[in-house]
Order: sequence, then C-alpha cells, then structure tokens
Amino acid sequence: MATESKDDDDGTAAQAPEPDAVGELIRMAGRREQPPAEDYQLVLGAATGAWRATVARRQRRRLGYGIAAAGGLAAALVVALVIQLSPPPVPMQLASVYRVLGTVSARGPDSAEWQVLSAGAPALMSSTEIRTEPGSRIGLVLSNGVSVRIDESTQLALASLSEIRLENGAVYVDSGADQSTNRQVEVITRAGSTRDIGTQFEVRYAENRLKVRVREGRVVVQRGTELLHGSSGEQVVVGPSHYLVRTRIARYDPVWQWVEDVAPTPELYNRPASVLLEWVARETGREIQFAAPEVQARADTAILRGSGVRTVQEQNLPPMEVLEAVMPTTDLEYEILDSGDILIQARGQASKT
Amino acid sequence: MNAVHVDKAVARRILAGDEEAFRSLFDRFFPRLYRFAVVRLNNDREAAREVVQETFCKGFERLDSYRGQAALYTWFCQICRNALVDYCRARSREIQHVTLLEDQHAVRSILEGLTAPALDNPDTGAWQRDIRRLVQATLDHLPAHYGDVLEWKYVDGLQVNEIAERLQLGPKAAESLLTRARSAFRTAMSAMDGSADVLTRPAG
Repeated sequence: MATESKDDDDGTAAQAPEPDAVGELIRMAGRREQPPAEDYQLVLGAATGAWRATVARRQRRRLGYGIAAAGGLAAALVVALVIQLSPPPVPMQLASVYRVLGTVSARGPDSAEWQVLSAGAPALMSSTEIRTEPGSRIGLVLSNGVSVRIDESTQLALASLSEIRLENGAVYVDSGADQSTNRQVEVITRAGSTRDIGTQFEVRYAENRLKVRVREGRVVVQRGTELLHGSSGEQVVVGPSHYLVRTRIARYDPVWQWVEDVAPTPELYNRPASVLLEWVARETGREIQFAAPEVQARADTAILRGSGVRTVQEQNLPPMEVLEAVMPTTDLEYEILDSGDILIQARGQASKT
Repeated sequence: MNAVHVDKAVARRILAGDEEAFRSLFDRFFPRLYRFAVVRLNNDREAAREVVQETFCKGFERLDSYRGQAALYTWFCQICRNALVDYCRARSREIQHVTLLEDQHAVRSILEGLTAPALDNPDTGAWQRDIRRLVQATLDHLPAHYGDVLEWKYVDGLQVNEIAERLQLGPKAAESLLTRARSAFRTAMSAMDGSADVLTRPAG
C-alpha cells in the first residue's frame, strides 16, 4: 500500500513524494470535463419520463391489469407495489418477413450496424430494431400469427410478442379474429401506449403527437395514469400538450391503403372463394354482401384453381387487385356499392341495388 | 458480490421504481456518457445532449432486457453508439471516423513512458493529448466511484479524509476504496496491449 497514512491523519505534514505512476498519469490527464448544468436538467427530465413509463408498464403487466368495460374510463389505477421481478427475457425468434416494399433495415440488440431486410430473411429476434426509408414498408408475421405492418419513415423495436416500441412513424397491428390473450400487442411510444382487445389498429407517433386509428375491435391508450378508449371506426389524437381529439374514420378510408399494400396473401389455391372474400373484407374494411343465400352457398363451394390463382399469389398483390384477378376464375362476380361494401352475385346476374 | 451482480441488482431496483437508485445511476452515468458522445461529435455539445438524452430514454425503456453480460455502463455505451449512428444518419452527417485510442482494441502499457524524463520533442503534444483522452476514458469506464476518487486524489489533491467526507465514509473505508480504485486503474491500463507503435512516445 502507498505511504499515505501520514496524510490521512491531519493532511498537513509535507511528505516525501512517492513514485506513483498511476498518480502521475491521472494528474497529467487533468480533470474530466463536466457537462453544462442546463443539459443535465434537460436530459434528467426526459430520462425520468422514460423510466417512470417503464415502471408503470411493468407494474401494470405484473398486476394482470384489467381492461375496463366499454362505455367509460377506468377508475383509479395501479398502485405501486413492491413486486417480485422476473428474470430478464431470453432472446427468442419473434417474427418473419413476408413482404418488403422499398428499403427496410434491421439491427439486432447487440449490433450497431443496420442490415437490409428482404422477404424471407432469417427470423427476427426479440429486441430487433426495424427502420423503413421514405416510401418503404414492410409486412411481418409474429410467431403467434399476429400481423405487423410498418409504414414508411418509421423506426421501432420488436421487444417481444406482446410489445412493440415505436420511436417514430406508424405501425399497424392485426391480431386477428382470435381474441386470446397471447395475441394481444401493446404499442409503446413516449406519448403513451396502446393495447388492443382483439383488433386491427394503427399507431402513429411523431414529435410527441400520438395518433391511434382503430379499424376493428377496441384499444386502450394509456397516457401517464390516464386511460383512453378507442373503438372501431375511431381516430384518437393525443397532442404534446395533452390535448385530445376524437374523430370518426371509415374502415375503408384511404388512410388504410398503405396497410393493404403490405397485406399478407393467404393460401388461395384449391381453397373456397369464401376464403378470398373473408380475407378481402378483413384487409379492406369493406363488408361483403351476397345477392342471395344461394350465392353465399356458392362462394363456400367454388374452389379456386387455375394458373391465374397461383400467379396472383406469387405477385403479392393488394387485396382488391387479387379480387379483381381471381373472381373471373369463378362463376361469381362482384360490384363495389356506393356504401363501399362489396356485393357478390352470380355471374351474369344484374345488380338489384 | 461482483460488479455484474451489483449492476443487475441496481437494474432490478430501478425497474421496481426505486427513485434513489434511478437518480444515482443517472448522476453517475450522465457526465461519462456525455463525454463519450461529445468527443465523437466533434465537440458539438448540443448534439451530444440530444444523443445522451436518446441514450438514457432508450436505456430505461429497455432496461428489462439487460442480462448482465457486460457492465451496465458498457451496456449504456452500446446504446449510445447506436444513438450516435442514428443521429448522424438522420442529419446526413458524416460519422466522425476518428480512430480514438480508447476505441482501439489494443494499447500497450504506457505507464513506463510517463515515468521517463521530461520530453522536449514538440511531437509529444499530440501524443500527450491522445494519452490524456485515453486516461480520462479509462476513468469513465471504471466501476462505482473509482474514477471520481482518483480524480479527487490526484487532480484536486484531496486528502483521504476529505475524500471520506465527500463519500460519507470512514477514513479506513476511503483508504480502501482509493486502493481498489488505483488497482483497477492500473489493471485497466496494463490490460491494453497491441498497437504499441501508435502510442510509442515520440523520440526525444
């Protein structure tokens, strides 16, 4: 040990200099620069917000947070409890890429380098970040079957099967008709988080402004300790100063077009026409109407075959283009009504509307 | 309890809502991450603030993914590196491709060089600048308060009892901390080996 004991006692006696290379080195380096005080305060404020949001999210999840019934805001919320924390999540294969439009990149949790993604790329692991360039989009399927579509100029992280962290841009989630809890997805932004209740919904976040559009089902938007409900056909906007705007939006409004562009095409060959119609209805938001009960029965039995069907699948066309290409292979035809719904009738039968 | 266990315990406390643990970590890491970022942003302090803010936000958002495979500060540094890449890319800014000594994989021990007689060669200026930054980066990467106590001792000239008072420790505990800090620093510096030619003291 260095001969410093005499200094420890009273710090006054002059001491013989010790041969101390460590000390010489550090003295030569000099004092480390300290950041400006105002920067400290600014960064502390932002970091505190992120920390509190993380704590609130974990507490809510741990307590098996219950979603309030439709028709009202939830009452008083989660009270902070000391809880047993779970071990850190183990990396797992999370999602597969089925469609890429333009340039999309991904970065693993332990990498600083972005890698360009293509359809059929190796499965994405949990905590993977994804970034889309302007004009680019990507369609993913989570390992539990949930469809996730990412709009242009977006950056997000796939934290887990149930959690997406949206940095900026927009993401669309279709958890399917199955409302089991293992398909529920929460989209988290710095302005709040959105959780689905068996839905199709879009979360768009930029410059601290959160916009949630619900196509089907319901969502709960958590902003601090406040809960906001969004229902089918609604758009909820939460601004930076916490203003709230709620408007109606049709299920087949043009704002949903980008979602259709990266919709996954189901297996159609050798399947009934009703499978095609159900898929088109879900992806376009349009309701399917049948001219007569026997037409609906026909849709259940008309089997899609032919090279045209295979070609359409390989081309990954949007739903309406698939409908246009495949219907002529059957004895059914369709018409877009003024309401936006799709009328199915037997081929050659004039519309009765 | 080794350093990683300590870091994992700290992370658990922060995730459980312990504000004291959160503030302690923030106060320890903020100046170090700031220095980490600013030197890589050509001393642009406003940019450094933005990058460090993004680093902390992402770090706390993802803290439940921290698995203790590296020190918590090293984990935050990785997030900071990613934030630097994203920041520069978003602004079409050239990433500072400066080969920083502290980023080099290998550095041969320089302690012997500093105990050599004073050097008059003007080339030593650049060399000393590089060494200075390396030393400060090493201090930043030491765990707990090690970097601070070494700076207090050798730069500010504090006595051990003054260091003890700052840390609210007894004199013996402060002495012990200082000894461990010196040892850790020496170990860190002497563990670097490799590109000795880059760090070779200019002849003189």
